[in-house]
Amino acid sequence: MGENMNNYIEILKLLFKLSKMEIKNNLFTIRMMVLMPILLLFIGGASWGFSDQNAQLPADVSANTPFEVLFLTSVFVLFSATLGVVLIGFDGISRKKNSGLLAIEFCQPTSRTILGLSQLFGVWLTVALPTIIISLFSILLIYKQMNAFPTIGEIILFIFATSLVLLWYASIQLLVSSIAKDVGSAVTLGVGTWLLFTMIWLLITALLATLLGVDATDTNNSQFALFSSKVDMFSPNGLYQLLLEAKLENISRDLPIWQLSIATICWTFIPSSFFIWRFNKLAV
Amino acid sequence: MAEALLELNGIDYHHKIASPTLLKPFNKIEGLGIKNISLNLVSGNIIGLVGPNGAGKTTLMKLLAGLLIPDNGKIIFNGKELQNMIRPNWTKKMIGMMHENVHWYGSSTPFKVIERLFTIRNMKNNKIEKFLDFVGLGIKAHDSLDSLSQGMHQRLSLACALIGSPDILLLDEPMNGLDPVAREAFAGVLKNLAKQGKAILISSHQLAELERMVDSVILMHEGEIIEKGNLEEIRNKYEINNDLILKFPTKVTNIKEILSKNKFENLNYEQYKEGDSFTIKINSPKGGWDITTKQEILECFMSSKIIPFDFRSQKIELVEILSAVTGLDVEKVGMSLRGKNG
Repeated sequence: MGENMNNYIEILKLLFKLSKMEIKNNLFTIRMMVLMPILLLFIGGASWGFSDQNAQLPADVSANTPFEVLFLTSVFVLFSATLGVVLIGFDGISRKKNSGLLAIEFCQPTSRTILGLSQLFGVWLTVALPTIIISLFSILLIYKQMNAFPTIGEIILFIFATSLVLLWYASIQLLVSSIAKDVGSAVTLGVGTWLLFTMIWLLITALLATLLGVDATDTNNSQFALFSSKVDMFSPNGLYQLLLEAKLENISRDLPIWQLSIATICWTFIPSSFFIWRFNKLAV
Repeated sequence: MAEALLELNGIDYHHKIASPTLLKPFNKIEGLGIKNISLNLVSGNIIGLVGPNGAGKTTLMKLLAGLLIPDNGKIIFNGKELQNMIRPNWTKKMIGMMHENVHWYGSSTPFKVIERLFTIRNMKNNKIEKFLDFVGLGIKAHDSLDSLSQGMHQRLSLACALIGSPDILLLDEPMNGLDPVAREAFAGVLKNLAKQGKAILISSHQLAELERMVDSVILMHEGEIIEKGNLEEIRNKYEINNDLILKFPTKVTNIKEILSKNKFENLNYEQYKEGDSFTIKINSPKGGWDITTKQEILECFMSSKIIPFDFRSQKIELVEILSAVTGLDVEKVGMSLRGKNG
């Protein structure tokens, strides 16, 4: 029992060391130099702009409370931070595989699961850590403009959901990267999945609604809202927004909390497990 | 004879090649691989793995390193047979593999590469500098990978294989891209490692470069081991002998007469022009050359005041040995090699 415990502690220590190394390698790259100003401008800029009481927002957009501002800012998280995960992770596996480095690492006496997890945590935390720091900085900006903080629960929900959506993207990116044969297919698959969830998902929702007899001509009707919320659970972006909506009083899509919880658990464990399974089977 | 560190018995492996169809997008078919491979790796021995491109050398090395799992057969490490071909970590600790054509590029450094592998192996990082010194990368430890020469890249690949001081070294085409000086140094390093008791398997498609280094060779062709043993024994077994080459500045007109001085008139020879000089190729007698015969032939020419400016044995090419072992004629084997190379 004691020996098993020591083994687990050793494995966790190794995972921590390797992930730290991966983050360090990713942080000081040109990709990160491009990403950092984007994160700062998108997340910081959005929270500053939406919290400005003089800002002219469309009638159906409400930014009256600090959390509503954070909710609106989440759209910019989806455009910047998730793209950051694509930037860092699209060739995370394929580059190492094509250069021959992965074969060298696979020859070492360490399980592939640990190597795969360190890769996953490396990509995830490289983007998640700056995003969280900038999000906390954004909360200060909101306070400066509105003289009010979101509640602790709201801050935790925002940070938790943001971290999760980046983890989901990191899993997807590494999974598609393990399928990619070269840089071209890595870019295509990486950017393609991002475009699918960020740009094309509404179209897919509308198409499915039409096929299943739900009126998709008016996106404000309650039948379509419920349908789209169900379809959104199959998209990381959609689920992220649904999680945040749970704390908003003026938006309710009548989705039971248990469904949200199951979708969150599935998104957290299925893509990452599938990636680790593939990583273990990968021929180099 | 020393006990084998690693033993393979009747190993088969076939590559799975993607062959998608409309209804089966993930369909795979069995491709070429290796068939019925049996070999022993013994402490202190250097074995050359020789064969043309596509013979299955790299596949065999990857199987030994645990990167591929065989379809059939037995793998025995230190006398212990592996169950279900699963490779526990202790077997991986025993093996270091130098991979062919690792593309070392980017702003990373040899130090960082080795540091990561040390970390993966849970080894202390304070010996990295010393370790890089051992493979001659000490002064380049903190240079970017982009700035290193091909020879340095090969040294880095070798360093990766030597981490943890494994008992078995698998070196896949290690001479690629090395200049003659570096090759000589590399051969010296290998001999030292063998003296320390390492079992070394070194692959190449060029027989000549392995000849001086190895204790025995394994000859592979189309996924199978077609011959193994000492190179000299193989030559004798198949009566493959190297021809004698003499080069002269002018044409030699009375060759038969010269050779008959020492009663060598029965040897087959031919003379041809090569650039500005003339080459006489004397075919090897049955049973091969002995040193005295070669000396006597040279004396025949010298005593006739016809002095060659070059006198040597012609190197035996892989294609000739393959031809002898497979029974195919040189032209046919050559065509199959060219087909695979091109």
